Amino acid sequence: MAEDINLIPKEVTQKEETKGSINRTVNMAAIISLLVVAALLLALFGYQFFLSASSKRIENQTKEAEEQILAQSSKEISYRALVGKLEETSKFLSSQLNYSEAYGKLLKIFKDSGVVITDTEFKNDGNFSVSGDAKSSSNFGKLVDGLTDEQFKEDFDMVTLVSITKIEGEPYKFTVEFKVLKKGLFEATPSTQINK
Amino acid sequence: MKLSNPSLIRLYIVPVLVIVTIVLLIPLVLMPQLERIKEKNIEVKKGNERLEALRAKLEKLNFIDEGDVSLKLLEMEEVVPSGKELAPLVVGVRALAGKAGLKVDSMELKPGRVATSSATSSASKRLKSEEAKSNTEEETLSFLLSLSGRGLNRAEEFLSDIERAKRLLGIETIKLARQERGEYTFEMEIVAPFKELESSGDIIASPLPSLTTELERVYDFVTNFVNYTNVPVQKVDTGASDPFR
Repeated sequence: MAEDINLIPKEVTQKEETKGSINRTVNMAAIISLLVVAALLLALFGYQFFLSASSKRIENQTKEAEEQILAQSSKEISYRALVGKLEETSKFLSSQLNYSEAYGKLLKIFKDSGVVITDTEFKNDGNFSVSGDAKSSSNFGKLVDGLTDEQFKEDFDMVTLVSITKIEGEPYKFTVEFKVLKKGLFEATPSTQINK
Repeated sequence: MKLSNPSLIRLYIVPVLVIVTIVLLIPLVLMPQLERIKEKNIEVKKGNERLEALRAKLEKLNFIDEGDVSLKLLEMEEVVPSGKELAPLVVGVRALAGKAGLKVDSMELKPGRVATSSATSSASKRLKSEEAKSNTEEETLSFLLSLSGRGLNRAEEFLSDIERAKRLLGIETIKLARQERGEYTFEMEIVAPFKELESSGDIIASPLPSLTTELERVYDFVTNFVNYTNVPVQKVDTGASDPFR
């Protein structure tokens, strides 16, 4: 039996083989790319499915939690109202001047100095204005000393003489302004004091 | 040897088809899918956050003693009522003045927010512009009180009582003037806060406010105040010729 004789030149055969190999490689690469893309798409769909399942689960749990909260709505309303009122109270108390304390100290100073109060205006921002009659300059001096005394340095500040007039036979008529520092009816702390 | 056209097509048909498929898949399937995943992810994240908030709230709610809260709320209703309730306030202020030995010369109430339908429609535009005003201003009843009495010490007592009174009363301004024979007049602008119930937004998931120790101290502080406004005031129907009879 005679063997088949390959008459095609060796170079041509090699070229054909190389071409076939390249062709296979390209096809393989294309198919792999396609498979990668398909895998990626599958992964994305899978992830979306997982997200949908999570969303559904969260939705159910949320609904359950909401129902439990709604069942206690009266408790919640009462609690919110209580905290709201307490916050309002706290805010209100800290915004108020301690008038009685400031007024009491002021009365003592005026009484000790022998000066008579005729007009006053007190404002919640701490600005106090007092007009009065002083029989003598010494009485007025005692008043100024009283207002600027060391013991009241945490109570009064920025004492200003607005006016003082003297008509013969009449007492000195004066107006002083000052600032009351302590603010807050509920345990005034340094942070609640009015800035000087 | 030169390749013919059909053989060239046969050679590259697979990669070309793959490239075309991939190129089409990206804008038609991949991108929309990514967008959907992004949206779903945000939805899940938000849902999870809300669920966590609900669970935290539920846990907190379970710890609250409803009976205790209700009792405290009743006490606080006397301190900061939910409405303006003028009549008990007027009676209370008169009682305070009387206790200090001062005479009430006049009491002028400043009108608050309007309530009638006609007034509401005309005032609606104005109200919108006033929405920016602070809550304190909106939820505060204000009135001018004119008192008179002999000596200055009585006013000190009045001020001391008013600072420890429930409902809460605060003083905005005091004008004092000496009259004849040691008599003084005191004009005061007094404010009384009230607190309505608030409800807005996602109230179910909104976290519960904290009842801090500071607020508990405030509660203990104000419950020791004296109630001057707990006098029952008889109500009469609108149009009564003499409401005081």
